[in-house]
Amino acid sequence: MAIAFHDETFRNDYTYRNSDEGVRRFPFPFGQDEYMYSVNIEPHAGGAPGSVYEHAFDIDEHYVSECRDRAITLERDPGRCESLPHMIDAEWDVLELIMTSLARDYPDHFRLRQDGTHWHWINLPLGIEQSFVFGDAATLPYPPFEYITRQTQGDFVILDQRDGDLWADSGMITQQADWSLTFDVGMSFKEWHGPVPRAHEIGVFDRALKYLLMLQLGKPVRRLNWTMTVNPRLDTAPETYPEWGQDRASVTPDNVAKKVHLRVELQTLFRLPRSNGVLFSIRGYLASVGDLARYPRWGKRLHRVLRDLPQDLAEYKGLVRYKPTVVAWLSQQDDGAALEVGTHPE
Amino acid sequence: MLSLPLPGGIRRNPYSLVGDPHDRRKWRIAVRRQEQSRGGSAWLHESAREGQPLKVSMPANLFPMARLARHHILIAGGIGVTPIVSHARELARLGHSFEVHYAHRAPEFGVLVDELRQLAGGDVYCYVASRNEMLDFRQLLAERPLGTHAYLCGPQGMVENFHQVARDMGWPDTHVHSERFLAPPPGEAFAVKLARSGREVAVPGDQSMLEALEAAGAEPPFLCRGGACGQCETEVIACDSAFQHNDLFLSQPERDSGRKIMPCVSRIAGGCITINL
Amino acid sequence: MSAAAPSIKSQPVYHALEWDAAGVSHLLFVAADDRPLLERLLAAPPRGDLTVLVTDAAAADHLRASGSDAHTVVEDGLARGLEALESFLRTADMGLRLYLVGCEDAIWQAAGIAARYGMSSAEIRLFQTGTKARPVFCVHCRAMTRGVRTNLADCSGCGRTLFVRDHFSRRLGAYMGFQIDAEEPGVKPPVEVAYP
Repeated sequence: MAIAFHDETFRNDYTYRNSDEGVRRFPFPFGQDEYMYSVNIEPHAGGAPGSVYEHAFDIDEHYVSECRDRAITLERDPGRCESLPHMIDAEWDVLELIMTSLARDYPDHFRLRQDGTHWHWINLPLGIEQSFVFGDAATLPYPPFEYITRQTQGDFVILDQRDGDLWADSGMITQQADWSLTFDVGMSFKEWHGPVPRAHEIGVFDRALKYLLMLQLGKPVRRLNWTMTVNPRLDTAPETYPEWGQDRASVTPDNVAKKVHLRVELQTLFRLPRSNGVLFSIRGYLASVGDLARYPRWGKRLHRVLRDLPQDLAEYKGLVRYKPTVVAWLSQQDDGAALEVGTHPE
Repeated sequence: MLSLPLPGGIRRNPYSLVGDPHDRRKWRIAVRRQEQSRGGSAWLHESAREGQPLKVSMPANLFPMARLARHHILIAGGIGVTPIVSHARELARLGHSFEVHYAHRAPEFGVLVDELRQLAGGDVYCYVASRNEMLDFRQLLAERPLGTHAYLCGPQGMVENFHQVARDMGWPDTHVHSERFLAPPPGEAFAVKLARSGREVAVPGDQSMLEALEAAGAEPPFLCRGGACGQCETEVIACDSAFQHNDLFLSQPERDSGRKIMPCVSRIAGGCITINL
Repeated sequence: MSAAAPSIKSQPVYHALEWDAAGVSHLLFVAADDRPLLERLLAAPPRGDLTVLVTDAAAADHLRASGSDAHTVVEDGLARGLEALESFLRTADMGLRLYLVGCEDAIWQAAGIAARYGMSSAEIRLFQTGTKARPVFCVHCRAMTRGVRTNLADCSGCGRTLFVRDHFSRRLGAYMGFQIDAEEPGVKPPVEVAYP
């Protein structure tokens, strides 16, 4: 089925909007009234038709505008895409995985013809048509990883597996939750997650690393993570913090419902066949607090989670300054009734 | 991983891919007929027919290449040459500096040597036992520049010797890589109790614990079936006999704890073991 | 002397420096004057060849006075010392262990060179001694500001006032710095000496 792509912006006038269907399929992450870190990893083996889990890489109504926003960010700062030289095989692995997945899952929008190493790629939404030789980077306008991730929603990191660890040696990061690829590239799994509070102490990263080192080809996994963002802004990198930092002080009781967004990351991990690397895809979804509260279950649950969120997690996620305003607004939607376990909207 | 329809039931055996990884139309393996075959290699040599469909699992890489190395020394012992050929192909394609050392019993056992020569040119060195040519690890590893990585695939004794010599010569474990061909060693028959279902499964002496569990319909996780990957790590609740750990995965403290076993290659010396499955 | 567990796990923790008995040759790179440490190490040298490369003048004097018979190379300053380290590694063989002693700026620059020669963390031991001053990487303009002793520092590249975070990159050999008053311009905590 063809997707109707929006023409919208993620900066300046912020015309980003979710359709009703966009809100309904939002991957709301809270199944219970309290939130704590866990190794909440499950197989990424499809999901209900229309859900964000249905396909390997989810393409939605924001696709065209998100790719345009990524291009703007890269134009301003090419360092948002980095790849250490030993990652070239992994780059091709990623290009193959994404192209074959998109062409299989969205035949109305993407097409791939493979004739030995001679490939022909058609991206209809972005109006791209490209013949190239697989394995020969000179036949593409960008390096293979940058080429394909400029045409895919979400951020990407490629992890190199060596010495019993996973190293963040490549990345396309233009819509991150306040972490810097330029600074973090080349880090080990635990160094990279160093700033995350609490999770180290409860062994989350030990277990996650052990699990991911054994990740198998053809058996990708997924988990959800979340934070909040003021304005539907994708580029909330430390690099541009001076541009968006002040937004956190701009939240008022009058604008909170439209201005503050829950930002959920659908994180998926794929073993790569030739390089033995791991592709870490961080697919972000934004929905305003007001849109989410249209589903009373979600409004109440979000209220309880934020109200009871430990202070160190709130600080890490950068919510401290405006969280009270959000909680106050959401409290008006919460009658205190018990909610059944689960993330479903109704 | 090939599933072979042996007369006594399905046997799952892992084999190394030796073909070109960029060829998406075929996967190629090399199988030496083992004199003391547990059935797999004999079946492939005698009973497998062209056109016969076999179930294959997705490949797994348990012998990865160090992509940051400045020079690679690839060493093969016997049929251990199969993953070495794949590495040589990758290194040749990437234009990295490498050399190959290949020990085998007699000239007729030097399978794939022509292919290696094509890939590595003059940097292929053969050591043929029937000609009294010996591979001396001490000589091989001496005076190697910083950043050299050495890889070996061969029989267990060769692997142990290789690691010992490398350690003696100051090589850190990060630069020394081996893939052992580890068929599950036979032993005494014993019983496995499954704590969650209360069932009991008998493990014959010539079958691995994992194979016996699968034959009984249990579906424990697995990947390499060679004691290396850690996927089948199983919690032990009780054991009235001695452990025979044959894996490469569990640490000594984990072994000493008596709380873990890798059922793909490890067993107990008779008696009964209760596992959390 | 080993520090308490850091609040951010990327921050290096240094353990008391000992020779690695698994090595067959050893290079000790000394970029700070820590006399007790040097005396202790040289009193019981490791098996195999030992070379001491010194870039700190006071440490070099102490070493001469100590009468150690270790092969010693003295270089004038860190920059020349790093060049000498690189030429040594270029021709060195497997089996070498590298020991880096000095402030974090010096030892992580040296570790970066060793990594380029294919050495892994199993072959390198680092020990911070002398000043705790930090090299700081500005995430806004990517300039490096060295020798930072305070919680806030002016970026040597863009001039912004940076807060020095405990998040450390081994590849860059630096801590992360970001603009402290981005949310409320002009609102900054007092400047304190944090890394003497």
